[in-house]
Formats: sequence, C-alpha cells, structure tokens
Amino acid sequence: MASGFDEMPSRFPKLLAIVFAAFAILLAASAALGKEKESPEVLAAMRGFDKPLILLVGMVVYVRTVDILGYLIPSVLLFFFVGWMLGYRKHLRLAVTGLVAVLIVYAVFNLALGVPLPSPPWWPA
Amino acid sequence: LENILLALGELGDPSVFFFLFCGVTLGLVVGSMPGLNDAITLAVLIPVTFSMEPSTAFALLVGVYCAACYGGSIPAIMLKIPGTASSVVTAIDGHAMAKNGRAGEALGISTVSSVFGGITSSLVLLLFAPALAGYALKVGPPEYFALAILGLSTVVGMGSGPLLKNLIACAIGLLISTVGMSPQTGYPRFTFDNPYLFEGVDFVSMLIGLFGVSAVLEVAEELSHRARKGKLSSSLPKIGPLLPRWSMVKRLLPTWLTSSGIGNVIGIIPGAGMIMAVYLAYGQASRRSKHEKFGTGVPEGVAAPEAANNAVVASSMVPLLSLGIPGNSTSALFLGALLIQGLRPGPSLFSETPEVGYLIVISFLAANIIMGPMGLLVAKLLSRLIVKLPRELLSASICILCLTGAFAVGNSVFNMWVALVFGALGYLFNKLEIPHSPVILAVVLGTMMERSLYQSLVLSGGSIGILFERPISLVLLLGALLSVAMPAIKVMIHRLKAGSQSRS
Repeated sequence: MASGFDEMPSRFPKLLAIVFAAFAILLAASAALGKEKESPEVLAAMRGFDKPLILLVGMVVYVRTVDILGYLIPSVLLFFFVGWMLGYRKHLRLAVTGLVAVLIVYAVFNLALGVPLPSPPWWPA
Repeated sequence: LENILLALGELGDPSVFFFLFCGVTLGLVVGSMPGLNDAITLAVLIPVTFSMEPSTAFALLVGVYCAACYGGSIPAIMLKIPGTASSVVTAIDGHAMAKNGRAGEALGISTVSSVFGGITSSLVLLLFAPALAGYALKVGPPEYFALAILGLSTVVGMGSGPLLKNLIACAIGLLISTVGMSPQTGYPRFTFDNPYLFEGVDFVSMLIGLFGVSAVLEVAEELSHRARKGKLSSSLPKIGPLLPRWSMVKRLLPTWLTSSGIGNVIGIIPGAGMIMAVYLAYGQASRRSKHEKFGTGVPEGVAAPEAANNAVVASSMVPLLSLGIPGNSTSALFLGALLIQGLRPGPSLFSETPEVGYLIVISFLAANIIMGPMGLLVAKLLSRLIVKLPRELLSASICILCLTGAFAVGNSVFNMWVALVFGALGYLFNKLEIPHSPVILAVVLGTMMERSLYQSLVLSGGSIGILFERPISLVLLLGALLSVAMPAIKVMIHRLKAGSQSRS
C-alpha cells in the first residue's frame, strides 16, 4: 500500500473476479453433476439464433453509416430491413410506413425536442 | 400537506394533465399489445422527455407505467395471450370467463380491480415515501452500504431465476458498475481510454438496449418460429356489458383488500418483483375460496392478480423516491428519467425539489383514477383493433426509436453502440435464463455500495467494524443475511415437513 492510490480502485474489481471464478466453478459443477440438463436446451435455443443475429448485424451497419450518411437515409433503410427481416412482405406499404415513421421521429426530436440528429457531413449547416 | 396541495395545483395545469392523459392512453394501448410492455415503452420515451419540463415528463411516464400494467389484461382475457408478463395469471380465469360469454364482465372486473389496487398503492406511496425520505436524510454512509447489500440480497433471494443465475446476474451488474472513474480516488477503470466511458456506462442507453433492442431481437425469433407453425388463429369473443354488478363488487372486496396488501408489501421490497406478487395473490385467493374451482372462469381469479399487479406499481416507487434504490426494473427506468432531468434521486428529492417529488406521487393517484373510465373505453372500442396491429411494423418502429433515443440521451453515436451491446446482452440473458432485474439493480447499487463503503472507512479510520456497530446498519445487514438464507430455510422446512409426513 505504498501508493494507496493505485491499489484502492482495483480492490472491488479484484473481489468481483474471485466471485466470478467461484460462480463459474459452481455452474460447471452443477452442469457436470447433471442437476440441470443444459445442453439440449441451449442447442434448441441456438436454432432460432440466425434471424436475431442478422438483425443485430444490420443495426451495427446502421450505426456505422449514421456517421457517414447522417440520420435520415440509414434510418429509413433500417426500418425497411427490420420489417422485411421479420417477415413483412408488403414492400410498398413497408417503405411508405418507414419513411413516414422516420420523418415523424426526426421531426419530434429535431423540432419539438431540440435534439439535433446527425446530418450528413456534406450537408450545409 | 402544503406540498401535496402544491402538486395538486401543478396537476391542474392543463399541459401536465394532458400529458398524464396521454400517458394513460399510451400505456393502455402498449400494455394490450402482446410483446410490448411498460419497460420497453418507458425506455423509448425517456429520451423524448429529455427536453420536457420535469412536471410534464413525469406525468407522461407515470401514466404509462400505471396503465400498461392494466392494459396487459385485455389480450389476456380476450385471447389468452398476456399483453404483459404481469397478466400471465389473469389469462387463466379471465379467458375462461370470456369463453363462457362473460368477456365484458371479466374486463370490467379487471378494470375495477386494477384501479382499486392502484389507488391503494398510490396511497402507500404518498404515506411512506416522504416519511422514509425524511428519515433517510439522517443516516450516513454505513447505513447506505448496508442498504445496498440488503437490496442486492433481496434481488438474489427473491428474484425470478434460480439462485445461482440471480447471483451471476448480480455479479455482472456489479462489474458493469465498476466501469468509469472509481469513487474517492477518481481512477479510470475499464474505460480503455475512451472518454465516453469516464462517467460509466450510460444508464439510460443501457436500459434502452436491455429492454427495447433485445425485445426487437426477441420478436424476430418468435415470428420466425410462428411462420413455421402457421398463423395464429384469432377469433375474438363477444364483449357484452362491462361494469360489474354491485353484488359482484361486494363479493370481490375481500379479494381486493388481501391482493392489494400483498402487492404493496412486495412492491416496497426492492427486487421482489411483480410476478411474485401476482402468483402469491392468486394462490391466496384460490386457497380461500372453497366452493369454486379456479381456472374455470372464477371472478376472483381475475380480481386477485389484477389488484395485486397494480398494487405493485406505485409502491415499487417507494424505495426509489425515498432512498434512490429502484424497487424493480421498471422503476429503475424512472431512476434514469430522474437523472436525465438533472434531479438527484434519493432522500433529497423531497426536500430539494418537493414540487417534483410530490407531483410524481400525486400523478400516480390521478393516473389510476383516469385509468378507470379510460380502461373501460379502450377495452370496449379498441381491444379488437389493437391485437391485430402488424407486429413487424411495430418492431421496426421500436428499433428506430430505441437507437434514436439512445443517441439523443447523450447526443453521441457512442450511446447507440451502448444500446446495441446491451441489446445483444439482454437477448443472450433471455436465452440463458439470466434475469434482467438483478443486473440493473446491481449496476445502480454497485456504485452506491462502493462509494459508501469507502466513505464509511474514512469515517471510521479504516476499521470495518463501523458497519456492524451502528444499529440501523446492523439490522439491515441481518435482514440481508436472512433474505439470502430464505430459500435454503424454505427447503429445510419443506424437507422437515416431508420427513414427518412420511413417518406418520
């Protein structure tokens, strides 16, 4: 404890690390002892995993492009993408709803609430 | 008392009342949509309230919280699909009543029971929160440390998941709470030199992710399952007259009283949760009625859970408004809303900004009163419409709103990432059956616990004994021990009973 400064903040995380290790062992032990039949359930859960994963990737791409293209265009595209991924097949209605919804959100945040949403960098300020 | 009058005056302000009304309506609508609940709606709305006046902001949020809880019973009764988790039990007897041609009566009973439970709970909030807050102002860091431990213990001991998973959830939350500057010393931890993380993980963005984004992912999975199974056939029963008869009111009164009592007690305990209250109330009601078989459409089977879940609503705000500790995950969202408004949650809320503190309390009362007639109206007119809304479009809108909201909270794209990460985490937690509420509570309490521990140690000059010497903190710590030991004790009692039965 020569410099208590460095030691004190790390105390709590270190304690947590020990706790996590203990829980991991407990969980592994209870799985190994067969008290909880984990594996088939997890496998069954994994099967429906594809769509949420694709959606998540779509959202990641969205957040990346907001920096480049501003708010409006990527948002409309994301709306269309999510609706389509969820199995909505009336394309025109989906696109129109998306456009209207995004415009409403844009108006509410930008005008009514005074939170400027990102605009494209080339847009004149 | 003068503060109450002040708050009433503020509520008389047309714009405040308008937003309360909007909140109730919105709450009813989202509550009755399966897959949407109060937490998701509040997570989406909080960034919207960012630039609103505190009074209108909280009127809106309170309205949603109150009404969503009741709204869930509409599809539960009509379709046997609970709109929110809190109306799971209502679906059993409620839908049975609807099938017997008593849908209207079931909806009416659910409305009146919800209003009854909600009003008792608002009164509990009004009586306890300011008093408890006044008391809490006088206690020091050791008591706060003990309180944080108690909160964590109850959420572990009474949470919905198995004990080990609750503990893991808790530890994950504590880990998240260590991100940012360390208390006392101000040393950055787990920030990876990212200035956005110096203040810790943004709480509201995290909640948006955990509730909103993960819900969208959840819908994606569910809809792809359903596509495989084929469309859900929905034939709606006829509604018929709504208002319960006077004789029915008299018959249900004892059920309302006991269920509201259960709901209020559970609500005040941090971490105990709504589902537990609902099951307890239903169990209690079914044990007491001797001649009727529950599950076949017994009015008490609707009245008990509905009175109980609405009784949890306002009383879950007691620990938040008086101590700064959220009672369940939904009131954690209110914590986020308070922080966004720049208000300090905790005991100083009532002393420093009484107008906001009391307004929240009074709004709960008013929202429950508005909910009565509004609920009947929505049940009558909209219940057929609401359950048919395309969920794909809804989810897409939620997705956009969540990410936009996360951006708006801190005016930074970084918060969008936070929401995404926690959306993925929240989804993963659902899959692994790790409950959310211990995570959220631990994030809040972790910071408080660490800070108050170091403050206590400074007070005592480094001796840990200070935590056990002060009477209040000792009692709280003992309470914590008891609530963790509770499941084990229950198992032991159970075994003892089983043992004595097998012997006799």
